[in-house]
Amino acid sequence: MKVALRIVALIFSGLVCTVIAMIPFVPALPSITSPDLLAALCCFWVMRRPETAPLPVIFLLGLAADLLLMRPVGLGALVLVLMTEALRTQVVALRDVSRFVEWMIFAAFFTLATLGMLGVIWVTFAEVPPLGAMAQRIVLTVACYPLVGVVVRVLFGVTRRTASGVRV
Amino acid sequence: MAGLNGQEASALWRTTRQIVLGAIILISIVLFALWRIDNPRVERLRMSLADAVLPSLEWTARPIARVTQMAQDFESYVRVYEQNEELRRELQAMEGWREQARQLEQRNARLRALNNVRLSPQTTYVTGEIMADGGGPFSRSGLLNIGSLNGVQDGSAALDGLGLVGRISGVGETTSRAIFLTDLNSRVPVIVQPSGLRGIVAGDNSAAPRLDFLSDPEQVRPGDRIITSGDGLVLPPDLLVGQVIVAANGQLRVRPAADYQRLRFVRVLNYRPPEAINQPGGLIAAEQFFFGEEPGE
Repeated sequence: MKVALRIVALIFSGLVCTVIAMIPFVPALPSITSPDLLAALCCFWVMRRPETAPLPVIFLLGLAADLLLMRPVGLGALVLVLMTEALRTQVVALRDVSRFVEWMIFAAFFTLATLGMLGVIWVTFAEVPPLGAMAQRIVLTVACYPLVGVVVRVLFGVTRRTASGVRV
Repeated sequence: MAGLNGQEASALWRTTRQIVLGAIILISIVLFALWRIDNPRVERLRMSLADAVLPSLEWTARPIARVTQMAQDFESYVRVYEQNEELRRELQAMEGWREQARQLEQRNARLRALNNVRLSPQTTYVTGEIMADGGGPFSRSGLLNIGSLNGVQDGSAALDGLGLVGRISGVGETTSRAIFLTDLNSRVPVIVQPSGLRGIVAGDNSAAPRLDFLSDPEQVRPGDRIITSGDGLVLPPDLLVGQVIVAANGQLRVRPAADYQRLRFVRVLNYRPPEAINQPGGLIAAEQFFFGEEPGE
């Protein structure tokens, strides 16, 4: 029951992340690119409660973001799924690392994922988005990660379980 | 999983996971391939999702628009004296223009009465509000709250009061997506005004799109007016696009006439390209001799 509620919470917050990116501040001339809050959210969630972040849910959230945010359809979802799957296999190892290390791991994963995505776009001769904007996106997303974490923790109580069973 | 012992259950669980993961990877690749080769179908998928999501966006867009507006109002409040002076000056100039416009209007009416002219019905428009934007570095586009039910068609020109904003790409029942001139995928055929050169305005997600494929860039000066040429029969001709500017590296770029900074309402033209006359009327029998011959030989 609790698991089902958490899944619903993930779906809800994932959609909120996508909608935030769609808010029209200055639609045609955004001075900064929007961060990929969905990636931050999913990674944060998977590292803490992998059982409440089922694969299909993450995939569908990624696909919805792809469709609504005009990203290459399917590619964004695939990258998100692969990224969270890679983190999922390391859940036990990641259980006792400090918050800072966790943050750096997310930064590394997200950078790799973005580079991979750009690589695929480039290889398939689609229009490659400006690299400056992509770099800005990586920096902003990594900067937003702790923020997303705090919000999710306060709202839905997604805390970490350490090896000793203590929730921090 | 109560009936199975732990090890068996986890093995089963792992296999299922792997199958699901494989299926998802496959679906993603298929979708990506479809997106790459057959844009329209994926575009339709996008628009139906947007149709479903837009009602919930109404309520993010409104408050944010209000806040932005308040911020802008506050900004203008600070400069109210300056603005007042400026407005007074403008008003004076406008009085002159108004007089002139009245005279022209009367003259126009007289001439039209003489002429019994029939205006072309091609230039109706419908105005919509931008409810959401593309977001992120991948595109410059906006979701409008008007769709096929309001008469919006794929490929229609989108304007603000000042100039071309972009074109419609993707129409749902009550939503449509406007791709801005600045978008990575936007290509608009144009004419540079005094010289009459034809070119393409190509967006690259920066504020000023490139001006490409000019036959003789030497003839183009900064400040030249750029209008749509109507080539390709997607956009109507003679819509103001912007002015030529020269970037620091000598590249020709376009400063759009549309005010992207405070773009909220967009006007979508309902334009049908003029029908081409490509065969003789029914009264005269089609003669191979006249219409099949190579001209000018």
